[in-house]
Amino acid sequence: MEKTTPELTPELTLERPRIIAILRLWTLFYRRGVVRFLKFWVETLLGPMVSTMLFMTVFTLALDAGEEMVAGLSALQFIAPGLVVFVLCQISFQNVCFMLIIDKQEGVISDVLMAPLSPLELLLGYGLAAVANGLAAAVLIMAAMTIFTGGMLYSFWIAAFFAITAAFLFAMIGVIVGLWSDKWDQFSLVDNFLVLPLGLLSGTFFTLNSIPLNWQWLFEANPMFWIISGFRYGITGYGDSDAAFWHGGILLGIAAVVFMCGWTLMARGYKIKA
Amino acid sequence: MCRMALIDEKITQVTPRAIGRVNTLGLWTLYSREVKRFLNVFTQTLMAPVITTLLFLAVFALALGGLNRTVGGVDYITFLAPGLMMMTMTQNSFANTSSSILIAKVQGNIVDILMPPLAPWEMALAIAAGGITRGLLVGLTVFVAMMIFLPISVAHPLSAVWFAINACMMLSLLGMLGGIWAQKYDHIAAVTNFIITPLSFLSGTFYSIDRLPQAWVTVAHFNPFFYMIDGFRYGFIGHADGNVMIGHLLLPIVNVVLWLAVHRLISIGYRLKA
Repeated sequence: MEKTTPELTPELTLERPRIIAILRLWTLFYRRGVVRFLKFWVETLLGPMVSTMLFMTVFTLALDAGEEMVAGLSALQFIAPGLVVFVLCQISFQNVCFMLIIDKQEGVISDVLMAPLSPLELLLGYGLAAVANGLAAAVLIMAAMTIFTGGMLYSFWIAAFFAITAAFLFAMIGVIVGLWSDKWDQFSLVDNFLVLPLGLLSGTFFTLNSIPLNWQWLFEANPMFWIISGFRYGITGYGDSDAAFWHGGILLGIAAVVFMCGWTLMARGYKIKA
Repeated sequence: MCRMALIDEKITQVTPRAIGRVNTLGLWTLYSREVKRFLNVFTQTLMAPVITTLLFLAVFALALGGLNRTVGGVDYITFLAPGLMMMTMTQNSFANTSSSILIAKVQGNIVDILMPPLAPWEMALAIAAGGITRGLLVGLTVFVAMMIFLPISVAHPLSAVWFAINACMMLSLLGMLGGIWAQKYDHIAAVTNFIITPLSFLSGTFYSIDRLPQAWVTVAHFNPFFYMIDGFRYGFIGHADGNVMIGHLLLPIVNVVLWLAVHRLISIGYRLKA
């Protein structure tokens, strides 16, 4: 005789596995990521804003601020978008590294891993919180910078595309570095010797014309240069629309590849599962 | 009888080590601990500041030096180099002492420094000397690295050394005050982001103080950070914006005041002892 307990069956069935469950993702993304960076707003939002404004003040004083730098743009108007988007990348990268490394060091990561979250949800939960932090800081900095530059917006969609793609790319790089780092040393190695040099030597502060010809390729091969010139094109309209199109496409491709790498590492539990 | 005498003799042999007026061994031990602490992670404490400073030099030289600008009678890059050197030295001195004390407090091993027979002034001296050592070591490394790229001449070596030592001491002592006052990492991050970095950025590292509005020039002449950068630059290029004599004397006076404050806080155990 076959035993049937039809009234119990619905409760016993597990939730059908889905690639992404919005609620679970929301919990990790919002409750854990966003609330955390809002709680530490002095470091995550105000700090970057103050240091960016310091850079602008220094440039105002060191340069003849009103001086036209490139066609139609003052030096400050040229520098501002690059500075914003560089800080955006840096914050996205640092935020996700901080979350992962702290969670690993405090052992909290096992709580997150125990929860019914798929690797993709883990990746997006951590990554998108960092993107949110970067974008929030970028919007605040842009607003504050209007003191120096006046309002500027050439194309909202182009600017938004570059900002979001850049933030996502650096958040995904941050996930990989955060998983790889056992200690703060490894994180600061990448931060100091890769992210910062890429950002500083990328045409935030100068046009390619001030570089000797045989060094220009070095800048043109730097993804941060594409991000900055694309975003600057979106904000000020200065630049080349074809170049912006191609650079945007390549960036999207790189972001996709890095995203897949991050997903693979999460799925394997690289350095987070025994 | 004979046996008692023997015991007496043994007891007299195990007296504690006599400490003279100065606990030189203790002083040396704490100092070498401070130095080993930062040398242990030299990529973060020496290499990273050196790379960052060279990048700053490159970026600012490219962004601002293009038009054969001269400041105070010298090329912009020659003007900038000593300022950047000083900025890095002071930031590292501050970071060393503040993080040393704060980490010891947070991790609870501050008792290991408070328990040994070290007088408050000995404790202050050893920790401050650690910070000064890091500042000077970073400064020296940056100097050597800059020599590769720039023809640096030193007009008044003694003045340069005098300002370097006094500035590192000033920031080491400020770092100790910060480390003693702070109870969380956030606190010290706030002091660094909102006080130390702005002061070193805005006190004439990047521009001649003459460019400031008149009211701010007056303010600058009461700012020890200005004298420290200006005096150090005088040591290199032989030209100062402010009065060099005042600078030579002002920094040691500030240092004496800071010494007294640090000594007082350690003596009463402010936020160090329960």
